[in-house]
Amino acid sequence: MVRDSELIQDFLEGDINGFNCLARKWQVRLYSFAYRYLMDEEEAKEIVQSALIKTYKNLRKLKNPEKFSSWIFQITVNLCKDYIKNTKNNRLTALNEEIIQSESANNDHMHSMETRANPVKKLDQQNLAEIIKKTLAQLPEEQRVVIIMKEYEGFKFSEIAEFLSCPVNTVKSRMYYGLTQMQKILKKYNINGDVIFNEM
Amino acid sequence: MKCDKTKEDVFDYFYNEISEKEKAEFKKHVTKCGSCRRALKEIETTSRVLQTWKVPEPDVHFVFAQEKVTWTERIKGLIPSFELLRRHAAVTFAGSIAAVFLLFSIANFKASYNADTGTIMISTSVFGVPEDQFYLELVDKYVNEQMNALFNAFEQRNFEMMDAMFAENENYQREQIYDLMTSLDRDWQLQRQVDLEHVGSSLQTIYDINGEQLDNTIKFFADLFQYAGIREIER
Ligand SMILES: [Zn+2]
Repeated sequence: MVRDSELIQDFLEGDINGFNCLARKWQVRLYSFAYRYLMDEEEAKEIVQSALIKTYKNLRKLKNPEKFSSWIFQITVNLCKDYIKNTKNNRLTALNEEIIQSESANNDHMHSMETRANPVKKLDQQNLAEIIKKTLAQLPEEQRVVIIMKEYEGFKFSEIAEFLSCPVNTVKSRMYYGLTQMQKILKKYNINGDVIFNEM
Repeated sequence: MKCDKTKEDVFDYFYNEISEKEKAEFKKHVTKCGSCRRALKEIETTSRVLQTWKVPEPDVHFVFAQEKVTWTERIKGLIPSFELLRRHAAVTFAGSIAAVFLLFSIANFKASYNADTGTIMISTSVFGVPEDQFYLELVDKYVNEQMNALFNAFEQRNFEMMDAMFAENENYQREQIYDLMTSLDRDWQLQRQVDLEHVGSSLQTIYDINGEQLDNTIKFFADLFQYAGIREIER
């Protein structure tokens, strides 16, 4: 894999392909992040496109190419935050309403599931993903973004603190409250780690 | 047992953000501390649940740099064979010139006779380089002028006109190149005639000097010229 800094060097020397390689290399990761954060496919695509355009326009201003990964991530994070601020994230609101609506209907279903011998065995990956999505959607945005950055992007707490411009301990608190909340919700769905992982 | 660890400590351990020494220490602590063990297990479980959520790759191609550059690039993007077309014309043209030029190089042998040893020396003379250069430049200039005209037209964003213009221009260009080639060919024919006359007079000189070797020489040149596509030489 070619290093980002080499591709940036190529681009700065006038090779447009340097940028294209960079974009190709990063698009999926940025998309996954934006999608998990906003939970909206179309919006995530828009965000990635805007992030790539911003990157293209400002790459010359990046002083330290070694910091490219945090830089392009910061751009994406900011775009996501702007989007949430400006739209109050309709998709998430819709998702939450959906959850509340289906809650009463689901309760009976969940109840009947619980009475079976090993109900969670029936969970396949897609159902589980839906549940995780719904669970994360119910968390406050500031907790959700920390969990996504930590669990899926693998950033250090100090890096997350920088992205969100808040103290490291705040990040850890949000992570803690987020995970605790998640555990409660997952238990409601009758998801218990041991059963799932024996199955998968 | 009294526990002095915080939730931050558990995170740091689980996400591997501490030194090896601290890690070993915490590991030891966990074997004795039930509350830390439980906290760790909770995080582990939630983390593993989260890891099962995979996001499928986006179903679009994002727009990259080349689609966002100059008008020239855009035109080239609109007509994929644009560059090829230009290069093809140039290669064909250069090829024709090279072929004709080679022919003339052969026809333009210099013959010299060494009276002492009785041998005939033959060497090629490269003629016409400046002329070729001139014609090449002429064509290049012409093509460039056409290109510039096209780009200017494009600046007016008259997309619908573009197709028609390109087709017309292509024909026009082809005609122009054909005309240019024809006139070049005419010039070369003329030049060739002059050269042949020159060769003829050289032969006459050689004949005067040494009549006996003339037949062989004539034969040699006749073969040579026949090879070069020249039909007949007057004695
Ligand atoms: Zn402890």
